[in-house]
Amino acid sequence: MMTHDLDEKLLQRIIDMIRKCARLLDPGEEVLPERPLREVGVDSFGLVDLLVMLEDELDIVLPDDLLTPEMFESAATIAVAVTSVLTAG
Amino acid sequence: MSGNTTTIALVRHAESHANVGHILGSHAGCTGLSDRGREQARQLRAALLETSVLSNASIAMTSRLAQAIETYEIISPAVGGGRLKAKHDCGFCDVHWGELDGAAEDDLVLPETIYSPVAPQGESWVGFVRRATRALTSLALAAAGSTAVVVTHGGVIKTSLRAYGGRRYHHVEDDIGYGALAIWEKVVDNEWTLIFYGESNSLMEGIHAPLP
Repeated sequence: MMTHDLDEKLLQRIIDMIRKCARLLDPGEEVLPERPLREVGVDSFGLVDLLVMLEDELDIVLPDDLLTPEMFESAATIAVAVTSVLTAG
Repeated sequence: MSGNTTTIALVRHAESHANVGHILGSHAGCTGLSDRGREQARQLRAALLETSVLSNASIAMTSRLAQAIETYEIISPAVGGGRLKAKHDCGFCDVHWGELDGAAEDDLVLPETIYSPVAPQGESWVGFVRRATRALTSLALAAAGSTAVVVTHGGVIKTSLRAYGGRRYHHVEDDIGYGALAIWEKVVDNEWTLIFYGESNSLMEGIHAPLP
């Protein structure tokens, strides 16, 4: 799935959640969908915060086999994984 | 510590046979406390009785591991007037070792990433922290306005530093010892404060707010 195929509203919600878990973002600084999470300061505990937030706010459970470094690369890769769970459910 | 105040005491289990034998102990591999562990738990009970710090507890929980259940059995006379039966919740367990449950620590090969399970049927670091975070968050809601005590494990207590403390306690790196405890307090809608983090003998010196 390409970024332009993703639901824009979902992508924006994910970016908003990333903002809450990122340590290195200035207020108002843009987060592009492909920007690596490590660049914005999402550490390992931040990833878990983000994971719990994603599951709570989107009312989904992300199965363990989906949780990989590739999935948590960026907002776009997270959106791909979330979309696969939403469409499967 | 009641009414508008929520207090959560996270007790690390006392020393176990698995700790002494360097065994990866989950539900099968954990076989309860060592003699020294039972003495640690008795010391904690004495400190809790002396300070009455958990005498008004109304919620008691443990993980499902024998070392936590046995620790609670020993300290329970000092919790909630001695009449509080603990519920056992797997959310407060240590890492689930899967097929390595009961194996020697030397058999553990560190996973490639934080997403990789420690063994077949076991948990990854991410999976463990997600589970512990959820257990801690649920407990905080259930315990609102009251005092809860959980006998759990070092990893869960470290997770609480993030789950309750956000980034304010990132500088707390030291593990607390067996039979030691962390006490969190929250007044109404304020942030959680770590009001105690240490060994039971320090508890006798009084509850204070050492951090951050």
